[in-house]
Amino acid sequence: MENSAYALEIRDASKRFGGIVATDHVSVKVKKRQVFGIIGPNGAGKTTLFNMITGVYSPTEGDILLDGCSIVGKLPYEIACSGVARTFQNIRLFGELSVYENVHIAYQKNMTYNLLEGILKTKKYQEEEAECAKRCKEALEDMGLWEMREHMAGNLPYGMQRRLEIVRALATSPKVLLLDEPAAGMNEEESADLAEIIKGISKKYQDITILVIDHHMDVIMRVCDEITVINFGRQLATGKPWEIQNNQEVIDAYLGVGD
Amino acid sequence: MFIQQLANGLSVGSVYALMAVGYALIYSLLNFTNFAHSITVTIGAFTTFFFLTYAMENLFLGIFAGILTAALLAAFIEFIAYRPLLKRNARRVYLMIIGLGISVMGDNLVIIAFTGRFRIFPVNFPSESIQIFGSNVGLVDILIFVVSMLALLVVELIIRKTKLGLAIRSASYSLEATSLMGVDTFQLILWIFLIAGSLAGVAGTLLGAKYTAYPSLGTFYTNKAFICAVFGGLGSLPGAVVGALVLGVSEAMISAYVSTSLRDLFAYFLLIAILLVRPSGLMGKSSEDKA
Amino acid sequence: MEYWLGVATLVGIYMIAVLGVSILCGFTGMFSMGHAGFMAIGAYTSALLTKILPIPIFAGVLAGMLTASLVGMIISYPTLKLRDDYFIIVTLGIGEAIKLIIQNATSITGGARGLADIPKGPNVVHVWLLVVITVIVLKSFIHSRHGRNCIAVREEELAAQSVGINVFRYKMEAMVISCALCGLSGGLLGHYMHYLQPNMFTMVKSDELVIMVILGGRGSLTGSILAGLLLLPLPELLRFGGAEEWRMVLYGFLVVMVILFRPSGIMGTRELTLQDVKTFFRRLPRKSGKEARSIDRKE
Repeated sequence: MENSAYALEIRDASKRFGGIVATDHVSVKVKKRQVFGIIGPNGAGKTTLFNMITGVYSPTEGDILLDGCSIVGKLPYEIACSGVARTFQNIRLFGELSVYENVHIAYQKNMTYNLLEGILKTKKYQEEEAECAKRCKEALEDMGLWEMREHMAGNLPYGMQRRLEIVRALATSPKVLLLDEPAAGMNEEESADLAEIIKGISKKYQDITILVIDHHMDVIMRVCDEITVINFGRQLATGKPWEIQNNQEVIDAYLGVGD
Repeated sequence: MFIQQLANGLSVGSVYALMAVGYALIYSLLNFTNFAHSITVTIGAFTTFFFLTYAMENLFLGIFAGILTAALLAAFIEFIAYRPLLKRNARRVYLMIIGLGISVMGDNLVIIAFTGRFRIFPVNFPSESIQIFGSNVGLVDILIFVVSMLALLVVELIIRKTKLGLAIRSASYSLEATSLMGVDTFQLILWIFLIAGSLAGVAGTLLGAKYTAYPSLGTFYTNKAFICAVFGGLGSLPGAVVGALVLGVSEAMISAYVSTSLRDLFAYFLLIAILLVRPSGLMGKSSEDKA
Repeated sequence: MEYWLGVATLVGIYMIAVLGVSILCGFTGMFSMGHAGFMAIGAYTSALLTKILPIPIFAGVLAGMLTASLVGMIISYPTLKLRDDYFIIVTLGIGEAIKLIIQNATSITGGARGLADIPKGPNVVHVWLLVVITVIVLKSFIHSRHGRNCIAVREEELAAQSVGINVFRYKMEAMVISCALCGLSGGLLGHYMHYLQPNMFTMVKSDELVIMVILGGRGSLTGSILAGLLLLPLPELLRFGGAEEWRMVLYGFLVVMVILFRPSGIMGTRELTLQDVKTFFRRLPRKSGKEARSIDRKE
């Protein structure tokens, strides 16, 4: 398994929809346990990149490797099972289920009992379910959502929904966690909290590698070890946060304009 | 025999097309299947029948009355049932369930109100037949085909040439973006239902003229039309028309050369076969769910 | 008394089908407009096998269940990866096709005139025992990871995939369970009624099954059961002229009202627990009837 220094490697990946190029020869190497940021204005192709990593789209060209193994052509759930978890830009919780059930369902990836064992409620079923309950409680307590566990996920305030999505993603025990615009729609204070949460995750889960997409510079700059900048599907620069902040091309294309 | 069956198939197929286009129109904008479509067809047929029986023995006005009632009914259903759901952004599945409820309720109210009798139009298309390439072709079939095609042409012109049509076309790409451009989407949706309802009304009167009016007329034929819409590719208007004509002709040929009782079975087998071989239909747009 | 036992038996038989459809429509969120077709497969398979071969009725019913699940599996295989509309249309297609095949295969099935002299079997006790077993099994199912994964698929497919749920597989599981239960229900129906006719399995019947699940609440077994207990006896109780049509009008009307004003149905996604019932009855004598009713309506 441990045959690559990189948790995730995107090699020259392009995605075209008809004539439109969403991402154009993007290459990214994410080291293990890094927090890696991808920034760029709206429509730059960031989410397309995530969708390729998670198997929602497959790249028109190029390759994507997880721990040194190609995951191109695998189905989204298979990629999730091999250790990639994500959140969504436009939140996709199991809206009519409770907060607890959202996390519980995600944790089930770690369970192995079969249909018959489930129906007969065998010892294995009971052990796995008990373990699951314990872990879900921990995860929710960590993020301060335990008190809300009985609430319907769809009724939570916006910021909590975002947090719940992160808890749900973490419940699958991922190797790579993808956060798609986690700070979208958040105010100054909330995004500062979020930055702390991301740092906390990377500290607590020793083996986890985190990829964050955002156009909120402050969050990205605060949490990321390395950043790549994308504009109109093309990669402008990659480097440490301070390098990016001082890169003239990036400033012209993105930082100077808007936001 | 062959020419005669071809004419018969094209006439039935063109009526399928009227209904299938209604499904496709609504699907292309709102992404759901309008299960209440059937009741507008039935009501169209019955309106024409009652108009011809009690008001005036004028087929042209009768058809017009059928179209009008069906269009109004479709708009009414949109207003009462679909609009509140669309406003609260309900899931697609709720729209389909409510449509199903309306169709179940409507079909049975029609039976209660008008009984299950088969009603022959007192005035009808001429029953003569004419000679084409040495075969007798019913004038009814030709007229039905012509009327259907005219109706489809009108809709095509509305979509291609008018401002409303432009709004419809852009909304079929993105309803949200269209509303951002200042189009009143609810008015647009109402128009779509009026158009789909009018087409259903035409289909209803034509089916009534060809076969008589009865309560399950709508359900039976809209099921077929739904198959045509899927066959053509859900949401594609040209696909719906082609799918409808293909199904109409194949059914006519099956009942002529194989067996009448296998005709309906064929339609459903065709459906299952399509879904096995080419599920996106003849001209369906493949839709990747955007994350 | 015999009349009431008859009603109870029929209610139990149809209840099994409603429970099956509940797993598919209520818990997994997939709409079927042809599950009466799977009842027909179960019914005719079991009836014909037990008529021709010297096998016991339960073996016939089991064969009916298996055949119904197998057909369900095969026809849903190509469509489960597509949008839900395709699934609806393929179930509609199979429902109608099965009815038409039965109608046309006159030499085997008796065609539209029906199939008579089916070995008589289940009584009210057998049927309700099966209902209870079904409920227990399904309850365990929805409290296992398999059932929960089905619910996740209903809620949000893309998110379900993102947490490693094989959407196709769980849709298939729900489909097979629902087909098996409809097959069971159909098999019992044939042996109880002693005869079968293709028009016992029309699209209206399929719609009815779905409607009960919706009225009960999508995602609540007890909701489906309550709706079934309220609505299933109606055709037996209402026997005046035109009752059938009025009943369907009522169903249609209820569906429209429920979707507009209470989309979650009687129970929503909640289950009625023994605790709920206990509190309900404990409060009854002490408090006024009005308040008791409001407990019933809470949530």
